[in-house]
Amino acid sequence: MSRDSLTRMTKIEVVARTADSDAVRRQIVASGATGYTSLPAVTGLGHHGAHEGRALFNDRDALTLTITVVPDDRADDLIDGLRSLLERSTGVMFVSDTYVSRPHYFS
Amino acid sequence: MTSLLPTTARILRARADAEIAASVIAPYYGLDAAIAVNPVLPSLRQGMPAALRDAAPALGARGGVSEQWARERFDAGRISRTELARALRERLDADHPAVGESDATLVARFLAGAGAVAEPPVADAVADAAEQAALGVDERVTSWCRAALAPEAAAWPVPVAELGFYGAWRAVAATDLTLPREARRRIEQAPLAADAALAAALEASGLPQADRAEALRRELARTPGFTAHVRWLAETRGDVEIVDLLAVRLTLRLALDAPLPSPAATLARPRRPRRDELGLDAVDRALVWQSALEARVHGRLLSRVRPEPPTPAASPAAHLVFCIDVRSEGIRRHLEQQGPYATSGFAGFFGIAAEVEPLAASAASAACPVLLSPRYRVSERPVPGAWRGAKGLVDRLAGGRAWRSALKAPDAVAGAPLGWAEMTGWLWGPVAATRSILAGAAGRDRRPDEPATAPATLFDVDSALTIDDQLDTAEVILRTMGMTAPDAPLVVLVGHGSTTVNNAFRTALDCGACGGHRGAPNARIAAAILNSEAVRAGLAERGIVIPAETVFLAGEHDTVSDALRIVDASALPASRRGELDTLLADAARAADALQRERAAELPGAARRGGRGRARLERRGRDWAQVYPEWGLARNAAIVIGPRSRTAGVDLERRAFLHSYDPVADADGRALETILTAPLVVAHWINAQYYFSAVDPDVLGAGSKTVHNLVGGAGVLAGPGGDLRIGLPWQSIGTRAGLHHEPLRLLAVVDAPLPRIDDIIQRADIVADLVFGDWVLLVAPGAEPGTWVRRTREGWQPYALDASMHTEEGAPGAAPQTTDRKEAA
Repeated sequence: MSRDSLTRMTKIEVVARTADSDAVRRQIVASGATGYTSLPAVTGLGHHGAHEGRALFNDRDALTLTITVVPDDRADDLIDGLRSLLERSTGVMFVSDTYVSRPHYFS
Repeated sequence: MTSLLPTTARILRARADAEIAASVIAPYYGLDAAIAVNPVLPSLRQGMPAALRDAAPALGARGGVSEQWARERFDAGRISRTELARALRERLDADHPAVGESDATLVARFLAGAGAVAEPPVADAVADAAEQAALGVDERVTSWCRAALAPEAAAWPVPVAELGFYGAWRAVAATDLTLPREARRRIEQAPLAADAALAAALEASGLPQADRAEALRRELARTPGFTAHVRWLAETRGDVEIVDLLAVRLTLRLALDAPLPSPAATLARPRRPRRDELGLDAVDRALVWQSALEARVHGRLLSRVRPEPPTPAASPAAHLVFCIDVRSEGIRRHLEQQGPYATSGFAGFFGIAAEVEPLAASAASAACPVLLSPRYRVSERPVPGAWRGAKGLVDRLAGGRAWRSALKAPDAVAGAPLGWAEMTGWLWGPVAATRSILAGAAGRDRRPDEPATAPATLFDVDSALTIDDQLDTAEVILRTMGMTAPDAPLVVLVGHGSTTVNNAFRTALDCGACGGHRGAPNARIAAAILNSEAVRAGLAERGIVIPAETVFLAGEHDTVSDALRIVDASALPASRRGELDTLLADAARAADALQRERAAELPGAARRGGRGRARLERRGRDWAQVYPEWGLARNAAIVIGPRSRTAGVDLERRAFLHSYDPVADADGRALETILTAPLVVAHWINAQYYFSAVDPDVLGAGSKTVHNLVGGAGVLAGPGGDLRIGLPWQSIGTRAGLHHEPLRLLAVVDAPLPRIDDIIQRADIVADLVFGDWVLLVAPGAEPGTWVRRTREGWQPYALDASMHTEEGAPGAAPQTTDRKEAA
């Protein structure tokens, strides 16, 4: 399938402490985004070293990846809003172009 | 006020400012299922010194011990010159010229510096005017919070369910005749959505963007209780968030011409802290006092932890697994003295991450630590043949609920409560007088959810968990508690609960690991899983062989009476009933011994009548008793290691005890689980007691005797004001002063140092606790009897003089003179 038949949008991904991810999700919803995907207990290596996934008896002290896709004309407001939110926390944000097959799901 | 809507960008910026502003205080869980939490939890990563310097003052609270209180401890001999000098040398840089001075000189210079760091009061007309305006806003906002967050207790219906927290306020306030006409008009024109209203108010304030988050933080700090509770509601129910609370505050400010003050205008303290001649500021000094205060207690407890390697014990008649709660230490110690019993410590939810639905309950509730999301729901059902009794119980409880609801119905009608009291007061007066005179000596007051008799029930584990899930759960339980080869024919999993009446903080005395509930249901579920033949067969394939004659039973330790109750005893064959009878008889003797020990500390208990278990049990039934038990007061340490390190020694009910076998945990997974969950929970509890003690006015809940309930949300001290977070005064002190000295947790971990280091490196939360100086983590050193402490700089030798002097308020000290009446 060619990308010509798809609709270009903006994908925003945020990795933040699980305790901070509620605020990230609230910000996404307030921006008018129609949804998000949340992946709890992600693992990896980053600026603060290696991160394990969820501990056996502790869901809270882990990292959560939150993903949303928004039309380009809404992206800048949300990006600014998320940057503001992450100013004083350890979360990171990735912004990229993406293509979707059902644009009406996202706008 | 403008009704023009702010742009989405400004709304999102305002929301971010609100979230940042609120990130200074932890969620407050309310009283329906009270959970201990570090009130400055969001600052955990920054470390305790930073939290004392920034987070606590941002809430208007003192974070560390006061200079005056600590000096009194020094003058009374509770802190010695040696201990203070040692703490000072730890705090000062190694090349500080004062480090080489004698103890006497160094301490004298330190004591002389107290006045140098005291902040003089600032006379500021602008700040005073802002304060007066804020007081009026506070009163209206807290009044609304009480109505909106506990609508069942509101004087009249409020449309929160339909319009939301802010929307309902906007609708009600626009017609509130106690507000000036112009204010009502402005409120009516405010944006409909909370975030838009907040953004509009921030724009109207004229504050530069850089000051807004700080200005909002100061607004929230005026009502830390409701702020903390709204944070919890945002995380759980999601129908109110911090933006709503701030939207109400700022819209009201604009409507009343009380503009949001600039942080610079109300800055009451200089940005550069004052320092004494040693170069220490007030927070440095508080930390010095803190270390000095801890040295004696930590040293004494550590000196009692056995330094030698564990030695195998003879096969016990029964093995009892208790919660790690400090109150378990006493009953374990006394029980082990009664006979051939082994005991272990494990988080009291016994690895059951469940929502539990008791028989006839109106809803299920999470019965696991708040660190965990429940994975499944387990319902209580009557055993086959007990349906008739179960129906009778359900009917009785429903009838009781309907009766109580009918009695409260007039409360929902404006003006009716007074008339209702006039009509029915004559009926309740004699009842109240009887309860007061008998004071728990006759009859038995029960919690509404506590039936007098109950049918035989079971927890329907098979409907909640597949056999594979049960097998996984069983393996986790046994490996984490180090019981891969059960050594006794009878194993009892003992939860705990507190039987008290007329006690708003009842759930704070129940099991925190069970989400602020009694622990018996979790113990019953775990025992049922571990008795399952299919599970045992699976465990054997995984290398855990449970002998066929081993039976797991569930029990519950009542922390008021110290009685041990066995549930589901039918799991034990009738031919072995004698084993249980012997255990219960020994447990009763252990309870009596422990009661004598506890009675010496409980205000008024030593001189009041009664014998044996009835004496303290009656206190729990006394509706006027504000000291039914001390809960987890005086907690000061957690020991993670085999029981052989602590068996036979008196840890004064001050230590959490988590069993751990370093030999059986070669890959360190069990230790990682313990350090990332039970240690965290123990710290939360320790921090709640700590902050409630260092600043009872802001971070404690005040005296029980003036509390008014706000539904299940919390309490007020008096008729109005902010929700009170933290512990009531009767949980931490008496009229004679603090019973709970604010001490940080000494974490004694019996494990190889590289294993601990690996976990610190992998788990941020453990690194935050250890490197942030929230807990003092020590482990056995290379030489037997030596200890090393983990700091950012690595493992450092750790040695404290174990002074055996009796401290104020410690066991053996003179009985306290305060009784419940005087404590008012």
